[in-house]
Amino acid sequence: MTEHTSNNSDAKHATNKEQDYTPLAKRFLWADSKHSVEKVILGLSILCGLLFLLDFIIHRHTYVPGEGFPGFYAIVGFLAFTLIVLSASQLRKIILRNEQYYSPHAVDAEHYPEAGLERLEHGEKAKAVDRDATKTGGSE
Amino acid sequence: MNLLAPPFLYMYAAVLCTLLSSKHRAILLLVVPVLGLLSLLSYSTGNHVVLAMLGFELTFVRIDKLALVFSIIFSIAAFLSGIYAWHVRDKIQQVATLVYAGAAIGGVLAGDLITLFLYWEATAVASVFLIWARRTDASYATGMRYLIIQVLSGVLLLAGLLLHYNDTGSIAFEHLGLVSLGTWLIFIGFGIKCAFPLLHNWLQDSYPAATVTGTVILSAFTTKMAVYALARGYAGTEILIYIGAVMTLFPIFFAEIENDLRRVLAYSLNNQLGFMVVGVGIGTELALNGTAAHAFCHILYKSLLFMSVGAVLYRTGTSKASELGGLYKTMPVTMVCCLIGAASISAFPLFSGFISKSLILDASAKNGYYIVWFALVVASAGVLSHSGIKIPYFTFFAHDSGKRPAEAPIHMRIAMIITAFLCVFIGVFPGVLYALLPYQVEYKPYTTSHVLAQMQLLCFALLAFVFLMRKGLHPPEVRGVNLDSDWIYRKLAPGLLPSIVTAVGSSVTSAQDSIKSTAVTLTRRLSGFARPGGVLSISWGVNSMVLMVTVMMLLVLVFNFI
Repeated sequence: MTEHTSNNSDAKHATNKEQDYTPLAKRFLWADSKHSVEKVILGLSILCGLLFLLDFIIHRHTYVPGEGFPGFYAIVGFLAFTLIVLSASQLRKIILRNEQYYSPHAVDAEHYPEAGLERLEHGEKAKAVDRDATKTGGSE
Repeated sequence: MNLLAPPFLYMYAAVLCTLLSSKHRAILLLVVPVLGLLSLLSYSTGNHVVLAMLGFELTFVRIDKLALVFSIIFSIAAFLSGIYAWHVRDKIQQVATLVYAGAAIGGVLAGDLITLFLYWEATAVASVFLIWARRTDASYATGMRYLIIQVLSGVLLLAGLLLHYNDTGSIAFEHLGLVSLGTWLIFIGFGIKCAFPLLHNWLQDSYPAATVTGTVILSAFTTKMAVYALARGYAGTEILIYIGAVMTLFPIFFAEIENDLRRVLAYSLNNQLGFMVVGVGIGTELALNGTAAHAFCHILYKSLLFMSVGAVLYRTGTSKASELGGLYKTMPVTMVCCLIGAASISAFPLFSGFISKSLILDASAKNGYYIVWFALVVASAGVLSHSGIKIPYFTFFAHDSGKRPAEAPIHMRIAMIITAFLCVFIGVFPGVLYALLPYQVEYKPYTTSHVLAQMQLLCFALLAFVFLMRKGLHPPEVRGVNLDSDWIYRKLAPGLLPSIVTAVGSSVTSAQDSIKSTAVTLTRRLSGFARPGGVLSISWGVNSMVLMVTVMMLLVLVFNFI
């Protein structure tokens, strides 16, 4: 799928240089830096710690027995997430099959039909951009 | 005014659509939802457009607050998908969209079961074209599976309504409850469209097979029409609470390991329906408000997520997590919209999911369904895992796929930005949505307890994600198909079919053979009687003949008297 479809749109941003990115995208470049990601994770951990401590300061209104236990939501959130992900990985061992498993009666293994994308040949403003993109891709 | 009822407007437009040029068709798709909404709001509460047909009084427009909130959000969804699909020039998809949206609104406004049935089937028939519009053999096969199941749902509804009419003499679509075979059949018919556990596979099978824009449209209507129908007919039916709780939980595991992001969203849709079904099952005013509010918010953020994944599919030709990653660099607007959708579905405070899900959670806690409440809390952490993190993270961040697609086209961006705005607006000003809800209930979502509890749940779940990624325990994105219960009718039954046919065939032949051989021996025995020396060929004496005749006449006499 990647071979013929991705290069369509690659054309416009083929340079892959940071200065070509829009200002909005530049704001997220930290996601590529290991150092910044570490900082964000540290921030998250501090936030979690604070939220946990707040449970001892603020009295939460509760309806369900046990809900008032300090850190109830923190513990449930962490454990539920972990258990869901771990048991899903186990589930995958049982139910994962080859992509062709249901072929040819399922779309899993097929490429999205290029014609069905109706790449903007007729569109309004985006025309110029997309024409460029598709020309180099050459799959139209 | 009768002729301008909202569902009729969509049908006229669908006919008109076949005559217009491509550009005008795109405009029509935007104008009709607006006109439909105006027409809708011009009606007062009560029954309108009552037409006598087939000896029945059919109510095509029944306005009350429950019907209103669903038909308003359906109109908004139709409008937003019209913007998103601005580039589509495929007449079949455009006509199908109009008929489908109109039928869904018609179903919600239907005041009796016959009208409901008509629109129920219309949604099935119209929507399948959004899958077939992909125009591959695989999508044709998928569409057929979808259509068979959808029509089955309609047939059950029809059978149920006939039995119900026979029992009660009424076709009114009011509270039904599980009181007879008829109402049970209707319930299962609704359940299929609402994707109850084990009746759910059509959803995950078909939605990823539809076109880029088709999936956005599909995600809004069918299932929420079913939620509406359940809320109308089966509010307070206890079994729904448990069905709903199971629905919130099991799709999470499948969503977690699914590679096709549009299928992840289909599983996640299923999980969100679970919350609504629990609300219907509890059936108190607070719970039903929760269901309506959640349906309203859900249509918006689920459309938004399908739109953003659709935009990625449109630009890259794939929606598989294993093929994506790092797209934020060139699709930042799509990414931000996707994050807003993810935050909304995960129910972060200030986003729409928070102010609607809380109603259902509170209703379950207040009514003493503690286990169900706990299931919903766990499911909320699960929602964060597949919709909140997996969708945006593996599409736009994670490992860089090297793909540098152009940003989504301007009309898609506009559709996504409006939808994202609505998600935040409702989250910040919940009163606007609460005013639309069926019942007058004072509810404050932004209490310290609520916000703190939700933030703890979500932040610690995020922390768990970081922990699992660090330890390499998070399942990687790999290509493949995950089996679900549809394996039974997609693989097992067709696989068994040849052997069943052979078995039946051979047993038929052996039965034929044994009948033949018995017949042959029987005729041989019988013919033996007539042979020389056989019983029939000996000459009888006069005495015995007279005795026989006498016996016969006696028998005749006896029979005469009986």
